[in-house]
Formats: sequence, structure tokens, C-alpha cells
Amino acid sequence: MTIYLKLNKTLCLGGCLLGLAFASFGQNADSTLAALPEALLENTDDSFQLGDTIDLGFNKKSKREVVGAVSAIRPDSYLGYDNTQVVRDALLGRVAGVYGSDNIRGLGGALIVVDGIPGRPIDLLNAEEIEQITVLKDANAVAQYGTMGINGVIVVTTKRGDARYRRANVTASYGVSRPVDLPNYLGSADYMQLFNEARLNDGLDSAFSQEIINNFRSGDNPYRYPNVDYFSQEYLNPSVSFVNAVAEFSGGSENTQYYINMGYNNSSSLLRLNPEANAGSHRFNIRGNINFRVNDFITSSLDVVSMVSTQKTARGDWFQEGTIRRPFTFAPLLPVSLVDTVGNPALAGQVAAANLYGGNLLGGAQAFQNNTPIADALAGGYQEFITRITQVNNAIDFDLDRFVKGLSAKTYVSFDFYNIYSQSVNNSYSVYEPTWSGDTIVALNRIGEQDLRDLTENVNTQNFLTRYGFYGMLNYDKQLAEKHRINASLIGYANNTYLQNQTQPQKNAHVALQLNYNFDNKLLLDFSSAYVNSVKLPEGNRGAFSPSAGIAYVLSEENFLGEASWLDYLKIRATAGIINSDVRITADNLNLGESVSDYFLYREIYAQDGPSYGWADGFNNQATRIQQGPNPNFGFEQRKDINLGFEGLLFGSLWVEMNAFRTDIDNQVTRLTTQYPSFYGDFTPYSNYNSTRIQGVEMGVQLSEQIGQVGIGIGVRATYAETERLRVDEVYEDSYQFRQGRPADAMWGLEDLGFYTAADFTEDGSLREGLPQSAFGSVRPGDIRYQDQNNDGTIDNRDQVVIGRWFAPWTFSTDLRLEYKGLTLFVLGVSQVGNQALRNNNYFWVDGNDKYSEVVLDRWTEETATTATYPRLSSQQSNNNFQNSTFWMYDNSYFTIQRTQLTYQLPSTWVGKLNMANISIYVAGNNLLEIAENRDIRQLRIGSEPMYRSYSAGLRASF
Amino acid sequence: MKNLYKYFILIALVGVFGCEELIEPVDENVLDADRLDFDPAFAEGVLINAYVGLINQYQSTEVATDDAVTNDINSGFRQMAVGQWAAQFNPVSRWDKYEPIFYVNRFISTIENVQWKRDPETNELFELRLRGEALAMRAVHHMYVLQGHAGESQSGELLGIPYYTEFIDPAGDFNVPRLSFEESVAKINVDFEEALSLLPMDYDNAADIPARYESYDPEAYRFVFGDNNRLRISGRIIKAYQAKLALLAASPAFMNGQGDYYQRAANLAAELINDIGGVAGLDPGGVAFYDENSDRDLAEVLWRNSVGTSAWFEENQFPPSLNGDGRINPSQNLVDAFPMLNGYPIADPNSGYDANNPYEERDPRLAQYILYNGNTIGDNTIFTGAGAGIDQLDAILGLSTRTGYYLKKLLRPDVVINNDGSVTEQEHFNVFLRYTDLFLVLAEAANELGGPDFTVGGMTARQIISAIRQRAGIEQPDNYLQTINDQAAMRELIRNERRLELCFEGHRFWDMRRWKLNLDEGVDGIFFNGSQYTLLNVEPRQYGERAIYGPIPQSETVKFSALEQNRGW
Repeated sequence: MTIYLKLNKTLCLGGCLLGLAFASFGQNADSTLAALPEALLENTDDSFQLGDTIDLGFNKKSKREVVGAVSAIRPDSYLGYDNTQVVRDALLGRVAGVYGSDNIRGLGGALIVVDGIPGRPIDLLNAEEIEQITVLKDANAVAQYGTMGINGVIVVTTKRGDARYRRANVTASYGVSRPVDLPNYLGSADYMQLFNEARLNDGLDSAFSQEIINNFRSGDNPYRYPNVDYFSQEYLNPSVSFVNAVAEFSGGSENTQYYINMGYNNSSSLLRLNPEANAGSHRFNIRGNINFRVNDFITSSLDVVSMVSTQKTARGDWFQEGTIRRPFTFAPLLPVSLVDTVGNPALAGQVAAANLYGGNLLGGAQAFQNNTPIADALAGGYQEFITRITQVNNAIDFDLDRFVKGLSAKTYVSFDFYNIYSQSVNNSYSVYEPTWSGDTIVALNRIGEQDLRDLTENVNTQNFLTRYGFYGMLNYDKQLAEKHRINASLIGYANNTYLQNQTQPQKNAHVALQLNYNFDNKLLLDFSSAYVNSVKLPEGNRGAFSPSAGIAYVLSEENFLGEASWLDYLKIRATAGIINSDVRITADNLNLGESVSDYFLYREIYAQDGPSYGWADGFNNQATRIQQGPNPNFGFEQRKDINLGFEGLLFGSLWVEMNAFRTDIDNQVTRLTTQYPSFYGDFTPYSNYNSTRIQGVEMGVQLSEQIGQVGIGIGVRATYAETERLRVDEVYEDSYQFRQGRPADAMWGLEDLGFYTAADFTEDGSLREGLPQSAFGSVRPGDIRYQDQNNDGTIDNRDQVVIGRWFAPWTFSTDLRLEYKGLTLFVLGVSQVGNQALRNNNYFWVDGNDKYSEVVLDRWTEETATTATYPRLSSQQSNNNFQNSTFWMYDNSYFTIQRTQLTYQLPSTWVGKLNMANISIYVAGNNLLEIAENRDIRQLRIGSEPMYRSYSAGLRASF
Repeated sequence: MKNLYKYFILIALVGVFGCEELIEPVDENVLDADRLDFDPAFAEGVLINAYVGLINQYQSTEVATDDAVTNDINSGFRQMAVGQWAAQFNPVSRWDKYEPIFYVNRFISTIENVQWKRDPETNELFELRLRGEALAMRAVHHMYVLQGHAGESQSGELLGIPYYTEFIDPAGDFNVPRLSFEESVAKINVDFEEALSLLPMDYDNAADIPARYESYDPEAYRFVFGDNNRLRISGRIIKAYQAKLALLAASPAFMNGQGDYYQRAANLAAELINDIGGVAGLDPGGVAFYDENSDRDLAEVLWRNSVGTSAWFEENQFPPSLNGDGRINPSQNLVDAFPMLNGYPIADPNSGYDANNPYEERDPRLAQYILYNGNTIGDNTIFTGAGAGIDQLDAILGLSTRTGYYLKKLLRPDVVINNDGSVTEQEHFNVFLRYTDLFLVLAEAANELGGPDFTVGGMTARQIISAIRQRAGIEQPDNYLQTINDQAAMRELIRNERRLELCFEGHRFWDMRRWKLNLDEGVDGIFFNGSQYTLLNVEPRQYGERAIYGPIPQSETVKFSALEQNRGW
């Protein structure tokens, strides 16, 4: 109840504030226009300047002063020529050491902090409303975030108003996305033909007669002999369209500044059936950030954010169903005109009573009762997911200089309310199985529930989340003597997230202490630490100290280098630290399933939640289960980190940075299954045991040059990372199977030796002497042969070796900007090299009664024995063939043109006449081109929406 | 603005001081071992783990034998039967039965700390009964493990299993070697015997109070050991398991007649059978102990759990035309094992078997247990031949029969699964022990001891088989039975009767291996094309010699050096 009260208050408050801000926007409109600095209008620099301020989360420093491994990007610097509003896209490829958009150095998903509060999804922001995104990589940089920083931190800071100038910016774009590739399944007749072949391979009779197959192939009566293609234009639109619009206003007076951002976007649905239900998605957001001065030493800020998004679809998972449902089983729609009701009043009555869809009955078959995705889409109703988010932040800054020279304090409070719920209408409906006589339907068998409209819209809360965060900070900054400056900050931090249906809120609390020493802007020392607490650990083990230290030396300030005219700036750094964390100690990470809590994993827990036994026909009792054994020594996982690096500016325009890092994640929690029998699972305690090392190098180069009228900006970033498992709870018979000393992302599998040939078998079909038997079932010619690594005469899991790596060791990205007069061309390329993947979904692993995709066309037959690229077909389970092996492995390296944009900035003379500051128009493409050996496999999505290629056109204007 | 500001200061203060302790978890009322001492139902729940781990009639292991196949392409039994059985892949593993054993051991160590009842005398009786139950359940589960994993070592020594009488803490030693086979049997019997000394033959208010409990208040005794405990493990149930254990031990794959195991099996079975009136006690309703006419107090059923309603087994087994999944498809091999109504096997020249009318004049159990082409279930006639729609052989793969037969035994025809997915459930119970099983134990043991007419407890194998066949509908005396005059022929007949009577209750897979039968006989089916029946090869059986004994899990032998693997695995 109190939560709802809070929510209502927030909403009222937010409304008031926005009204207030709008009002003040109007008032101040003219007075501030004159103050607009020219430089801010054309801020198209790619890289940061040394004097730029880097927001490190709790404090800000100039780039020169930063000790730890930190990178920052500022959307305003590139949005003018790379107008992507999706924050994840903006991060992709822009920061050295970041894989994808939020995986720093391969450690896993980084903590994302939006305006001081962790856990806020960046997907809900427009890039436009972001001032700066800072990526904190090493232990020294993340130390102040306590336990939460173990995977690194991405700090997102939103824009604020400025008294000096007024800003009004509008950007809008429209585009279409087309599927890059869609699955290609065989039609009914081809399926039947090949399924017969599969049966024959298994020594079984044909399942379909040639006559039936011919009827399907002729296509004369597609209702009696259907051929359903779920990925055809009949069911999918050729493209989806999207609209995106963002407007921002800011300005203010000396005492009050505001920033307002409003955004809207929507995207249509690829699904063609039932457009009323497949309505696509919409999102609307509004943000108001306000600063105000309370008195001469206290300033405060208040931010209110509200967002609503909806996504409405027909029931059922079309893309999943489409990979399973075979094309011939039944016609999804039966034209009523084919039903012969003459002299058959019962049938006529049946037809009259049935719901029709465009003159069609819904088709079905008794044998496939629930397998009616098309009927489900047409008649089943809809589901709509709605997300409502409200965020409020309040900061109060105290300038305590008047009491103690150099002292300041800050408090920060923030509240989030997330409500994700669904509204659905679940209609029940009948489908009809026809009885055919020639080309007419002479009887109908009704299957399924009665046709019944769901009269109520069912509302289900999916997730209700309340989060509050608080920190208080004392900061002391003092120039001790001419060249000595110290800075100390003490932070008390807490945040708490309540999730619906979860007893335990997620709690984080720690105290962080940071001490800085700056000698003459040359030598910088940084001691950052935190005393952290974990509620997931046993009493006595809940607190831990996480220290880190760093040193940076600006060599270019020294005389011996200062003479070199090509060297404008060079800083070297070394940091090390330990992060104690409980973030990875979750039931999810330990694969415990949903019923297990992340908490009390150290206690022997009893719960009477097992199955029941009933006796005496009236009494029963439930089994009391034990969840795990006790471990009083259960403790933190630890990240131990060393980072060495440098950054420099050469020739006034070439920025170079590089870091080498080594991170050990020690004391990872696991159950020591190798020490206990398999039946001891319930009683096995959790222990801190496993250890993994990640080490590598990240580097970045950025060049900005103006050559005549051509402006050039080129950036290249590269990261190399490798992992090694230092300690693993494991036991194997064969030494080559041990994971210790191997990469954490090693791909284990069998080594294939091509197909068995007829010569490998004796007359009676058994394998020739000397060939190893497969433990995965009996084999025939055309099955995959494997290397018997341990020569025990049996092919089984013990013959698995490392065949590849899942995670790319190398990742590259490059961006190019060319400017000529008002035209700007931007290209962003992203590349990963050196990893592998497996073709192991149901598109490629086809056996039994699976749907047949086009890959089976290259199957092994006696005739194609030498050219086949796919094993023989089987109507049984092909366990032998469908093992992780080099046969299915492919190189997953790629280079993709992620984005490209051509922008034309209208000449200022025109723009001025319109009383505007700046107008540009652009065309852009997303995911335009990929170069990869296995592009076809990489771009094909099975069981989910296809990968899209998008084209858009847009406009950006500032007033 | 000032007011607004104050408001937020307020929120800040409420936020900071109004929250719960930030550095401690919320007390979730998570329960630990302390709870056992003062919550008897909670404590008894630890023992219940053993009860819910009992093996009942719904095992479906027949689909891995010559009795049936399954149309479920993902079935582990199916993969096992065609050559994938391995120490790393064992769908019939019993190793997990050690888990309930560990729960029982944990329970035994807490019995005395729990206050079961305030009254000290009643409390003591509870302690004694629960201890008896726990020991008996420990023995039963070890017996399961023994059945699944006993076997010959690399050197040919007959090995049993580790026997756990203590809960081992995480810090303890788990590298426990296997006992010899006979030691394992002896250990199981030690627990059974101690349990017998604590438990009455039956939980029955009307029964005499055993000598051990004569000194207690009869009221208290009846409260603890009376009617309200029926269907919990009792002395009678223990003796039945002892008989089965002795027969297992005596079988060709194990002691092969050495020792007194056949004698023990015969004596125990005879004692229990004589308690119900000897051969005449064979329940006439035993053939269909599961159908709608059977009442819950059927004499046939020696041990079951409480009655409950369900339809899951029918949903799995009904033919697709009745909206089931048609899972278990009985084999032609099994159908051929049913004799003619005159008692002769179909291969016998005197049988009168007509291959064109294969289901005419057959043992009535065939029509009761197996849905063949033209047989009925409830009011529905099921056809599996040409033109039969979705019930036709291989019509819809994964749904229709692969052999031409569907299962009928164990199914209640009055369960209804509708086209719209709604289901009418019916009463079912899990059966753990049947008297017919005990009759067949006695017949088998008596015949092995002295042939068809050897008497144990006043009964002979011939009398028992005759009674079973008579109940089945084969008029007695039948000429074929009378021709059986030596031990070997009687052995064949007993084994066949056991196969028929106990089919689809999870026995065949274990019996075949206990008897060292040929496991690699392929499974046949049949197709009726409208005028004649054609035999089909449906699925091979690829086990090999080692499959007489099950493997110790590879995951265990690799961890524990003291644990020896069976030969060939």
C-alpha cells in the first residue's frame, strides 16, 4: 500500500515539476538565446580534450587527473553525424575493451549506473538525453562501487540545464527494417520424399505413398494437401517500419536550470495475421532534470523521469512454432465454399455455428490438437506487455568551504518504480478436421474448446520493482603547498531493490574511501577502497575490505620528454586492487532454478516441500527436503586485478591509449560435486573454490585532422583477451579432459573424421573389427565418424577435446568520419576474430519427426557419398550425429558495417532565415553489410525474430 | 520551491532511516534441523522421502525389453535398448535410491530427539514404530540398489553394493567399497529383521497385540499401530520383500541355486500365502486389479498407497483416437506368449492357432491386457490395420502404434480425454506388492527346489500355476499343464506365466536378466492390410552379454577408487 502511495506522489510531483519547467522555458526563451556560445553548436570532436571533465560516478576529474583505466564518450559529440538513439548501439564499438555494449574485458555484464543508481536499464534512455557515458574498467576505478563493481561499471549521466544558454533540439527519423535472412524449410512433398528416405535408412517402410506425395506436389487442392510455409509473405510482412522522435529543451536562470527531454518511438510488427493484435510496440518517455539554488552554500537538483512502453502481439510464439510445425499436417484455413452441405443439415448447422475468418473455417487435426499457431494468431486473442517506469532523483550539494576550507558534502537520494504487467485476452476457439470426398468437404470433426470470446481483459503483473538508493559523501580538497594537492572523499552508500514476490530485497551497502595525491600535475596517486557488506554470507563473514591503489605519471611534463615537439602529452599508469563481491553468488548463476533463493546458501535448509505419500486412504504427509549442506566458511568471491597502461597525444591530433590487464576471479562459488556421490546432491554444501583468469590488452587510436576543406576523423580500437581456468572442481579419467589450464570459454566436442562409408561395415551391418563403437547408438554408412581420443574402443563423452573457443579473443572496431562542406559521411565497423560456434539448433540438427530445413538437401546417400555435407537422414534419434563436434563447428569471425550515415547540414544562411540555429538531414543504414566466412549461418535466426537490416531518413534541428 | 525542497529532505530522511537493516538479510523464517525436534510432522517428512521413492507399477521398463517398444522418440529406455546403455547413460539406474537412504539415516538419528506425543508411553511407541519403518525402508531401498547394480567384478567375483547405515556429513569419507553380494543381502536382511521385531504384521485395530508390546497400554498401542497406519510398511510387507530378495539372490544371474535362498524364498512366500488360505486364497479379481470394478480393498493388492484420482497414465497410453499419446506399444513377441484358451502355446500343434485369426480362442488375458486390431476398450473398438485413421500402425509418427498394438492393462477405460483437452479423471493407486507376484515367487522357488510337484507349505508349483491359469480363464485341468512333468519344462511355464500375469508392471526387464535370458531378441509388430496379417521387424535389441548386470555410474567410479565397476562396463 505504501508503495502505491509513494508512486502516486511521485507521479503528481513529476507532473508539477514538468509543468513548472515548461512554464520557465517560455519565460526565459529570449533572454538566453544571445548567450548561446557558437562552439556548442558545432561540437563534432571525436575525442575528449585533456581538460574535459570525466564523470567517475561519485566525483568528476579532468582527463589528465584520472588514474584508473577509464574511457568516456559523450553522445553530443557524435549525434550530429551518427544519430542513433539506442544507447546500446551507441556503446557498441566505441570503447576499447568493451565487447558488445556492456561486457568489459569479457568479465560479463557490467554494472550500469544511471544517475547514481545501479540497475537502471539503459535501454530505456535516448542517447540524446545523455551527457556522458563513462566506462570504469580496472579495480581501482570501480572500487568505490563496492561489491557491485566486480564486472566493471558503466556510468551514465544525463544532461542538465545550463544558465548560460538555452537549448532546443529536435530530432526525428523514420525507417524500415527488412529481415536479412529467413529460415527456409522444405515443402510438404519434398519433406515426405526425404522422410521416406530417412525411414528407408533406418530399415523401415515408407511412411508416405507416392500417390500421396504426388497429390501434395501438384498443389491442385492446397486445402486437402496443404503446404504451409510460416515464413512466407502470406504470414510475414516484407518489412517493419519504425519512427523515432526526440525533443530536448534546456536553459534557466542563475538560480534555476532545467533540462527536459521527450521521446517517442514505435515499431510495427513483422507478423501479418491479425494486425489488430499484432500491433507492434510503442514507447513514450519524458524527463525533467532541474537544478536550483537553495541558499548561498546549498544547491540541489531534482530529476523526474517517466516512461511507458507497450508491446502488443497475437498469442503464441510464431517464430518458435514456425521451426517445429511441419508443412503437411493440416490446412490452417478451410474455405467454407468447399464444404458440401447439400442434403446434410447437420453439417450445415455446424458451419453456421462456426466462426469464420475471411470466409474460412479454422483447420486442425485430432492428432495435432494444440498445434495450431495460425488459428491461435487469428482467433486466440492477444497479449500486451506494458512497462511503466518512474524515477526520481534528488541531490543536495553543500559547499562547506566557509566552515572548513576545501570541504564539501553531498547527499543523493533516488527512487525507482517499475511496473511491468500484461493485459491479455484469451479466446477459446474450435478448429475443424475435414473429411474429404474428392475436392469437397463432406464432414467436419470439431476439435478444441467451444468458440468463446474472453470477455475480460486479464491483467497480470509480471514484475513490480521498487528501488531506492542513497549515498552521502564528504569531500575534502586541499592544495597543501604549491605543488602538493590532496583530495579525500568518504562515501556511505546503500541501495535496496524490492521485487514483487521476492522476500529478500537486493541490498547493497558499503562505505568507500578515496584518497588522492597530486604532485605538480605530474605524479598522481590514488587509493580507492571500500568496506563492503553482503547479506548473502554467514554472520561473521559479511564484511570485507576491498583495497586498490594506482599511480599515474604524466611523463610529458618532465623536461627530458617535454622537449619532444611531437609529443604533446603522455601518461603512464599502474593500478592493482581486490574487489570482494557477492554479485555473482546467485541461484541463477549456480543453475539452481527459480525456486531457490540467492540467500542462506551457507545454511543447511530444511523445507517440507517434497512430494506426498498417502496412507490409510485419508492420511498423508509431505517429504521434508534438505536444500544444501552447511558451510560456515562461505565467503566473498574476489576479483584480483592488475592494470598497466598509457595514454598520449601525438602531433596535436593523434590520441593513443593502451592498457594491459590481468584479472583473476577467485573463490567462485560452486558445489564440489567431485568430492561427493551423485546422490548426495541435496546435502552438498556450496563452497568457494573455482578460479578463472582473464588477461589481455586493449588499445585505441583516434585521429582528427582538418586537411583543407576536408575534415577527417578516424578511430580504431582493438581488444585481445584470453581466459584460463586456474582451479576447477573436476575429475576425469583422461588427463586431456581436465578443464584446469584451459580457456573458460573452451568449446568441448568430438573430433569428426567424416562419414562412415560402406567399407567400414561387414556384410551383416556391424562395424568392422578395430573401429570404435559409438556409445550414442548404432551407426550406419553416412553417419559421422569420430576420433577415439583415449583408444578405449568406444566413442563417448570421454573423447571430447577442446575444439574451439566460444568467445572471440580479438575484437576490433573502427569509425570513420569524412566532412566536406556541409556533408558528413560516417561509417562504423565492428569485427570479432578467432571464435567458433556450433550449428546445433533444430534447423541444423534434424532427425526423427523434426521439420526439415534446406540443409538436409545435402545429406549423405549412397550416390552422394563423396560430396555430401550432411549426415544420412534418420527417422529415429540421431544421437551419434548430433553431438558437439568439429563437424558442426564453424568459424564465427566477422566484420560488420554496423552503421553508416550521410548527413547534410543546411547552410547557416538558410537556417538563419528560419530563425533556427542548425538543421541537418540524413539517411542512415544499420547492419548494411557483413563480411564473414559463415555469414549465412550467422545472420539466420532460428526460433526468434529475424535479424534486420534497417534504412532510415531523419532530421535534426536546433533552435 | 522551498516547500518542495523540504519535502525532499523528508523523503531522504525517511529513505535512510525508514528502511530495514541494510546489512542483514530479511529473516525469511528459513527452517533448519532445529525444527525437527518440535514439529513431528516436519520430522516425519524426512522419512516420507523413502515412501515417495518406492517403485510402483508405472515403470514402463517393458519398452526396453521384448515385451514392447515406445513411440516416444526421446525415451531413454528406447535409446538404451538399441545399444546406448552405458555407465554414463543409464535410464534404469538405481543409484539415486541412496538419496532416500540418506534421508532415512538422517531420520533415524533424530527419532529420539523429536517429541512425537506428550504422553511418554505413546511417544515411546511412536519412536519404536518409526524406527521400525525407517529400518525397513532403508532395507527396501538398498534392495532396489542391489537389483540395479549388483554384478560380477572384473575378476568374476559376485559383488553387491555399499550399505549405508549412517548419514555421512560433508566432511566424511565417501570412498566406500562394495560389499560382496551375499554380505549385501545379509545386511538388508539385518535391517528387515530388526524392523520385523518392531513392527506388527498388520496395522489393524482388531489384531492381537504382539508380545513385544503387551506391556503397553492397549489404547496407546492401537493409536500408534492401529488402522490409521494401514498402507505404511508393516511386518507382512517386509516378509514379502524378503521373499522377493531371496528369490533374486537365488536366481541364475546371482547365487544360481547355491545357498538356501530358494528355500528361504519359498518358505517366506508360503507363510504369507497360507495366511490368506493357501492356493485357494488367490484373489479371483487379481487379473484386473486396476480397473473400475476393482475396489480399493482388493485382496490381491498386498501394498499400495492411498487412492487418488488421476488420468496421466491414460493420457500417455490411450490410442490417439481417444486423444492419448499411445506410448507403450506391446510387441508381437508378447502377444505370441499368450497361450490358447485351451492352455496350449500357439506354436504347439495341439493349440489350434489360426494365423489368419490370431486373436480367436486365445487366453482371455490377451484381450484384457492388450489392444489388438479390433479389440475394445470401454465402448471403443480400436483398429490398427489399413484404413484405421490415426490409430493405424505408423499413421502419425510419435503418436500411433509402431507394433500394431496399444496397451490396455493398467488403464481405466472410464477415464475420458476430450477433444477440447478436458479430462475426466478416475481413481488410481500405486501398487508396490501384489499377491500374484508372491504366488509366482513360491512356484518358481518350489520348482527350483524339487520340480513341479515339490511341496512347500503344503503347496506345489503345479497347483499354483493351475490356479493362476484357472483364474485367467483357462479351464482346469488343462491338458498342456498336465504334460509338464519335469523341472525345466515347468520353469519355462512359470516364467511365461510370470511374464503374462505381471506384464507392464516393471518386472520383465529385471526378470529377463535375473534368469539370464537372451536380451537381444528383436521386437516384432504386425500389420493387418484388410485381409491378412504381416509380421514386421520393429526395433532391434542391442544389449550384449554385460547387460545381465547394470553398471555402477561412471561418475562415481571415477571419483571413488574403492568402487569397483562391473565386468564389461
